[in-house]
Amino acid sequence: MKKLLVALLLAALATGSASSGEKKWRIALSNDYAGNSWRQTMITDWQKAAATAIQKGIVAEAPIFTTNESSASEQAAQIQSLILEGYDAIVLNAASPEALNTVVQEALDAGIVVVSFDNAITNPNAWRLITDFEYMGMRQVEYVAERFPQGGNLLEIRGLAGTYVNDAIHKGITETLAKYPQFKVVGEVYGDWTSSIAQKAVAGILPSLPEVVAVVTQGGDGYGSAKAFEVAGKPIPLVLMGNRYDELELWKELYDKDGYDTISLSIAPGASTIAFWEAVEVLNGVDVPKEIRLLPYVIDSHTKLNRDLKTTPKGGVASIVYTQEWVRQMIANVKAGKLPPPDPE
Amino acid sequence: MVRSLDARRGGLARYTESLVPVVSLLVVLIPIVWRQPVLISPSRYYAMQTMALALAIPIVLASLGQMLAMSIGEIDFSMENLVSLVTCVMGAVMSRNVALGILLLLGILVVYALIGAFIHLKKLPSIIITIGMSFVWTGLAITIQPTPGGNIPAIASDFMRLKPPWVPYPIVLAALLALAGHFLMFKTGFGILARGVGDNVKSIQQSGHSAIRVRIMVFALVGLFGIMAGVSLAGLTNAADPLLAKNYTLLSVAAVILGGGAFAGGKVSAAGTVFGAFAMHLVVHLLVVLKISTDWQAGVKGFIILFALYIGGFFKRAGKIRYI
Repeated sequence: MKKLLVALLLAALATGSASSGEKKWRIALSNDYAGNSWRQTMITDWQKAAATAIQKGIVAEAPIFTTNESSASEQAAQIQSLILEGYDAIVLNAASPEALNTVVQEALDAGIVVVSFDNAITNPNAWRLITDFEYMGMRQVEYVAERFPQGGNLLEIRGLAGTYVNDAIHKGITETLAKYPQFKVVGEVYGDWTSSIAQKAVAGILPSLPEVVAVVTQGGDGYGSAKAFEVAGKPIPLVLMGNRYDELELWKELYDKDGYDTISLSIAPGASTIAFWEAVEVLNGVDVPKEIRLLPYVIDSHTKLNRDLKTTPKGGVASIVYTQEWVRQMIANVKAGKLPPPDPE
Repeated sequence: MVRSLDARRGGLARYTESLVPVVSLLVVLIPIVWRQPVLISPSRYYAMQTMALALAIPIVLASLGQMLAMSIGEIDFSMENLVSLVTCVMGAVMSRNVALGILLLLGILVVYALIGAFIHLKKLPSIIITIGMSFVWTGLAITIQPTPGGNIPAIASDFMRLKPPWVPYPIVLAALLALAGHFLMFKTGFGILARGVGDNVKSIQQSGHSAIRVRIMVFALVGLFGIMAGVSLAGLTNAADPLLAKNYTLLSVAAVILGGGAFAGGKVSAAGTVFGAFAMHLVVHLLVVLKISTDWQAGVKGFIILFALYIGGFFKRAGKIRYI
């Protein structure tokens, strides 16, 4: 019975085969998670860059594939399927920095360009846009130390347990705190980079906490953390924000009310568009360095805050859609050992 | 009682029933081979076929473990956490200290045997105990391997990359596992007792058998299959990651049901489960082939699984209507 069906299938396949036109690149985005505002913005930014590239006739298609709930084993299978589908390039936001190295090597061996960004992989043969997540932790602590030279208690919101990003930001925070012994982390909760989860977690730990001067975060968890203080009837301490619209809006609202101030920082979701154009450059035969470091996007002035509040959609994350020209310039700068060009408007 | 009915229904009914998982697999497979014909082409694309199917093996192993639990009417909700933990034991411990690594894996088996005993003695539903255990396993995994790493002993990855002639290795492994599973459930005294406990525990006890022994052995085997799933997954990905096997719990339960098993216990099929596990693995490929908008991918995945179940169930019903 099964043999018969297979034979039928083979016959059907023999009649239908793919037609070939002129060569335009086919680039797939393999994404492990789409369930928060950062990833949603990352996806819309990608779609904007892809639309431009399709209109210019550079790429034929640039579809997005997302696995359920960030499963690395599922994403590995997905990448294997993308290899079989014959995409020219795979851009990757990985569920695990290690678990996809083997399958990425399979893709590279098949002649496919692999560019990884945000949650980057560690396979040195792939092109990797590395975000300095430790810098995100470091910058937060430096700001807190500047605001409270006398020190005090801190609450730390962690990301998702067992992930690389969570660990790297935490490492940046811990290592920088070693320079400022006047601060003490009195509580640590997991917010999963999600406002509602952070709010629940902070509300749970608040009754047992002494007074805290600041809440160091990982992005996406600032609004929920601040709300937990508000709901408990406590004054909102300095909460570091993560560029989400609700966080920026809250910052602005509190600033207008009583001069409350903070900074906000996160990797721009538009990093997906840097990876997209980098893949195009590699496909076009440009020599691109395998490892390029990106700094997070920091909103540290009210001018920037007001501008990003205008340009960021409700529920989105402050972002930048990078252009092909900008990415070309960035690659040239990196090769010349210079800093990346200023962000495009 | 059920068995005598089965017998009266005769060969043809059993034949249509055993088609259920095959049909479910075909529902997923047909659109894929339509777009990726290399999957069923002859040996020229042997490497491609091996690549596309290899990651089904850990799912097959986890599903066979789940099948054992479900054969006695229980469920292991900590399967994905166990499998992930085993990858961490392989990466963080086994690579440095083999004796300690083996000791840890044996410890896991003992805990699983105790879960079986506990379920029997305290008459607690396994869902409660295993949900509790899922946190224990993940906690342990994060303790020994705080962030993903890769240092898997070569023997595991070498074993997963054997290249037998003629037939892709994943298919060889799956066939062997299906045979072994079938033998265990239908040709050994243990298998008959286990299905008996799931079907009607009183009759097993009245015939002088010890239900606690069966439950202990079943859960020890669930642990064993979970460990094998973890070792194979670590070997395939060369990675130790406390979250690596995410979704395996639901995948394994779905594979057992797709394979013709039942939540109520007593009724399982090892070969069917293997087919079901392959179907669950290939759903990911199907989503890539169908190029669904990213907003809909999770929903469509669920729909495909439901559709495969429905088509399978259709065949099952057809058999019953005609022969009862």
